[in-house]
Amino acid sequence: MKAKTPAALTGYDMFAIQILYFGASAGFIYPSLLIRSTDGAYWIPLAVWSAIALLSCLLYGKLLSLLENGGLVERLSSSIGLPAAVLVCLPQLIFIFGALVIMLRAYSEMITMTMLPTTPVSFLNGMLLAPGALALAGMMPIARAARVLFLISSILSLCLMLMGFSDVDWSLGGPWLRSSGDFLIDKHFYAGSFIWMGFVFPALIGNYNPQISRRFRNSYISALVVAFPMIAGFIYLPVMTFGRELSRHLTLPFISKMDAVYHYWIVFENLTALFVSVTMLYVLLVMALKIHALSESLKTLFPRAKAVWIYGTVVVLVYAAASKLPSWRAVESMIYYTIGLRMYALFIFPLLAMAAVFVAGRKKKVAS
Amino acid sequence: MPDILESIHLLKTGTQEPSLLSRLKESFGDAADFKTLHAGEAGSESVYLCFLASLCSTQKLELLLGSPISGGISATLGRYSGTSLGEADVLGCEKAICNGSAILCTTASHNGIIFDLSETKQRGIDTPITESVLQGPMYAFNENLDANTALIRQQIRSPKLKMWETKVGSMSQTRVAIFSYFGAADPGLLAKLQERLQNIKTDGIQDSGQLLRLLITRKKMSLFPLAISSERPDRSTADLLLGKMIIMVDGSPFALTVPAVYTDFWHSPEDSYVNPYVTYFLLALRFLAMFMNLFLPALYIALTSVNVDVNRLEISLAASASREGVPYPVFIETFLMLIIIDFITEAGIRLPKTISSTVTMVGGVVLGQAIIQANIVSNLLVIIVAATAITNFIVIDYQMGLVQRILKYFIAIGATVAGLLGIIFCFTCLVFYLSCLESFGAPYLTSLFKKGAPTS
Repeated sequence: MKAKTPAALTGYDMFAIQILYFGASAGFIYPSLLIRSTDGAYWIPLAVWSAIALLSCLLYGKLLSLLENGGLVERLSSSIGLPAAVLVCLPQLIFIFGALVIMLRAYSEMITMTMLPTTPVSFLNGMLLAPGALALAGMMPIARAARVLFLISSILSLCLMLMGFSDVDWSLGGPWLRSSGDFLIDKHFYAGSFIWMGFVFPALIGNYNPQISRRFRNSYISALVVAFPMIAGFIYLPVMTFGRELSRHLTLPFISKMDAVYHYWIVFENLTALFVSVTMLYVLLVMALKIHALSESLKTLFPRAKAVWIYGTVVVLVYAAASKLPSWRAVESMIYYTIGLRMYALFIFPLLAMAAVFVAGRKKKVAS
Repeated sequence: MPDILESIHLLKTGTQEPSLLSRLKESFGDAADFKTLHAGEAGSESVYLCFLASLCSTQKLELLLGSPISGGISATLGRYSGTSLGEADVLGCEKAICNGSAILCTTASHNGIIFDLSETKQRGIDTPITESVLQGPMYAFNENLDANTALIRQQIRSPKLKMWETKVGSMSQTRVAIFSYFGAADPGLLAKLQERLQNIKTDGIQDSGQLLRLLITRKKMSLFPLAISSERPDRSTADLLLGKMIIMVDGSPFALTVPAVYTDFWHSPEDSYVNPYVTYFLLALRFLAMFMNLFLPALYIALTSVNVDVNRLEISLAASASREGVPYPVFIETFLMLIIIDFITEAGIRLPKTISSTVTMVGGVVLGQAIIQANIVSNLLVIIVAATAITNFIVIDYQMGLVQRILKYFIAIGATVAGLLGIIFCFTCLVFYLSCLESFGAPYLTSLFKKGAPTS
């Protein structure tokens, strides 16, 4: 397979990708982080993060609209030169690499904890090969796969979510309105930033102009609106089942919630297995997107390197790093350590890139 | 007829080279059906008629060589007044003989006159064998390209229906035609197809399926069929109007429709002839059958050996009870039964109809009963394998059905390795693979419902 020039994605493609991103990242680690971040209403930190993500998305939208049918990294490189572009992009690339490692290892750990306790994590990490191959095939195959997986996984997730409403006590979800803003000084609140960053990856892939940029922004906003209840469900359903205190001590609250669902009319007794299986659909696709974003950026920065070698190296390094992590605790620590990188990706990178593009534009104008 | 006689007198003679008659006798020396018959005398020269008896029309030959009439060869040839005649050298005459024509030449001439006495051997227009429907046209293509062209033209009576023809195969010289509907079809794709057909290097082709393999480069070869193979003129013409192209090979009753996307293989021609709600129901049924066919054996493996806790306790206990006494692990038991059912299916297809029903009966009922009683497999597995076999026959397209038969093993291997997660992983790999495929420029994974021409 050969990497192809990415064509412009449709709004629906971007929407599907963003929903899949939320599905891949919000279901397992995130609920425990958010539950631990505040004593007040949970929807308030969610709304705050939604607003922050929206702001960052608008920033990216503005940046992408300046690209005149070019790629972001390519334009950056032509504006400020290759060495400076490498410097600006480096934290962004490390962030994507870290995100890949965390996602792969966290998901493998989740499988080990719930379904296949005796299977070695290094074997489970081998699942990376499938997204690696898809990433190498190009962005359009990723978008096509996203459409199919979105169709299947959204139906299954909705069913699981509806079944999660059994045995809930709404009074346990409170306080519903009160919040002291304590989450703003809690590291768990910032550690959960990774679920709001789905738009960062497509921004690094493909060519943009004002029209495509508008599509990019609108599809993320639509996805955010649709995913918000889903994310709230991941947090509130365990809380309304086990209470705040118990949920706070659970590593994977929504998984525990799924384990607690029992109805005589459900054919399957273990809904956790179904949830973990559905999550695999999300995770594999999102990992393909991340590998593609990382490798394409590297390809632009190092044009002499062969695409196959770049993709191969990325896959091998991610696999090695994910297998090297000693335990679940190390995965959690890595989430905290990379908060700074995520903030860079959310705000500093687009601002720097915008400044670079703007200055280069001004210089060009003056020269002409 | 004086014209033909005149032409005979004007045939080239007199060089040192051997005559046409002797060269033809040499070329077709070992062909038992090659005949050289004395037709009469033209001046001092004897006139001979050379032809392949197997390809010539006996009626036309009878007319030319039958009962002698008064007036000699001149009167005999007069019967051919008005028909088109050609003149050719040795190579041209050889080619013409291979196409069913007869050559009239003298003993000394170096070229000959070509008479078209060819007769195409073909079966009549029959009902479709592989795509039977209960409602809709009941006739199918046959092996004759001209007859098939007529069937298509009868369905689309418009000058916008275009036909481009070429010959493929250095030895077989097989006629291959591309049909397209002007205004709907993509001209770029048509040009690409024409180029690919002209670049094919092969000795000969016998079927449209073989042509498809030659059209797709080895690098782009895929497990899934990249063109619809149909013997129904109504299906082909409907696709033409949607902007697709039809490739037909002389000698094959199957038309190739390109480009073809994954969901095209799940539409029956009947879908357009029945109530749309029924069509949606049938489509849902087919997709359900596809999922059952792919996942049922794999789910059995996963739920009885790897993820035993996922199932309800009652079902798990029932499954375990039915497996009591079975000496093999679940995956061996399942693969054994899947292979046996594939043996029976294959035997049922290949054997004559009268025997195939017996084989099915012996295989399905007797063998099934015996295998359970011998405690080789569980009761539950027999039900699952039977359901899998039935759902495989719901697949509309024969080629896609074959692919499904292979894929269920792939998913079952996934289930053996990692249970439910293995199934999901294999399924995702399949989706990834399908999303990378393209059929003649069109992405393989596109909308379920037919909208219009997919563009390259």
